[in-house]
Amino acid sequence: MAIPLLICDDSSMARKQVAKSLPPSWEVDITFATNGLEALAAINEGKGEMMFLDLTMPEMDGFEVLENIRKKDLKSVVIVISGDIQPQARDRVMALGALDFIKKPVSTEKLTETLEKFGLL
Amino acid sequence: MTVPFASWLDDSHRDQLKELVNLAMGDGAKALSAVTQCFIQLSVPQVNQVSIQDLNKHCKFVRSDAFCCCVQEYAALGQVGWLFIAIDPKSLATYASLLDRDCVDTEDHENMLVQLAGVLVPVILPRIAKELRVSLKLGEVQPFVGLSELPSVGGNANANTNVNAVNLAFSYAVEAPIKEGELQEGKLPVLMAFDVVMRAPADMVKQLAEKFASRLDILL
Repeated sequence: MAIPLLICDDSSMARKQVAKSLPPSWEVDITFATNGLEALAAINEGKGEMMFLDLTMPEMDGFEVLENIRKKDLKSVVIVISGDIQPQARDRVMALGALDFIKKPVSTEKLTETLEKFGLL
Repeated sequence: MTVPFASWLDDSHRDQLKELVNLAMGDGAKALSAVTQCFIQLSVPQVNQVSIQDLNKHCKFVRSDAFCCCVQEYAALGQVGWLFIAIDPKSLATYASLLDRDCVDTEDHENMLVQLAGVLVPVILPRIAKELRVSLKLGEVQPFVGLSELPSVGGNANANTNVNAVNLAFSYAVEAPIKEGELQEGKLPVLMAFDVVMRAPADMVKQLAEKFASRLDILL
């Protein structure tokens, strides 16, 4: 059964790039969100069992999304994909419950490696 | 035929450039956070076109408490390269550095914004030093005459190169706590705002955006 996968990034190019980088054999049902508010709505609709989340976004950023997921006890496994490569950013998202942090731009190899590391493939 | 200025970049180019600037800002923030031991809160980059005629006007609209940094292609007086200038509107202090064009690989235009991120660090440092009340060692920062005396702003500098130019304004703000860890304590961060204006030939800017997008495809 396909996994409901949410890709949240304010950049259209970045969303497409993540989608193109997904392992070909991975069965997913993809939903896109352009900011944190849309992402939370999608998770509430059951479309974000798994999520690739950007950090720097309008309306609601990735940090706030993670805080909301924790506060509302939403069910979503989150991997952050961001250009904000400050160690503090990584530490903060991990403390907020993200599964991992991947530096942009992501590649199929890196994504596959990460998913395999956590037994998601 | 004159190409209408507004048509030089479409939404797709703008989106690609925003993402590229986002990555460059991430690199810049990492460097800054290493120096200041502060977490730098990045904002969403804005990419806007301004005409060369409006460049001075645009700079005048910069908030009075904001640092302004301009990045321009420099082609005059026998020199070609990239000119980086920062202005503190409060003190009217200006800082500038010239980057030789040899430093920029014109076959690989993303270097331009990688350089931008690198050069922003010495530009931003004086403000951070002031706000954080710390002493930071500056790189090659030299006094500069002033924005109105920039050769390429006056419109004559490119007469010999016949370059159509695009000015892109990258506006962003960063926030930093006064001391590491104070964000968690609920103290108000220091706000630092920047308007970055990049001037580049129109074709180069479009190529930059497209090349960046295609480079990502290559990674797949």
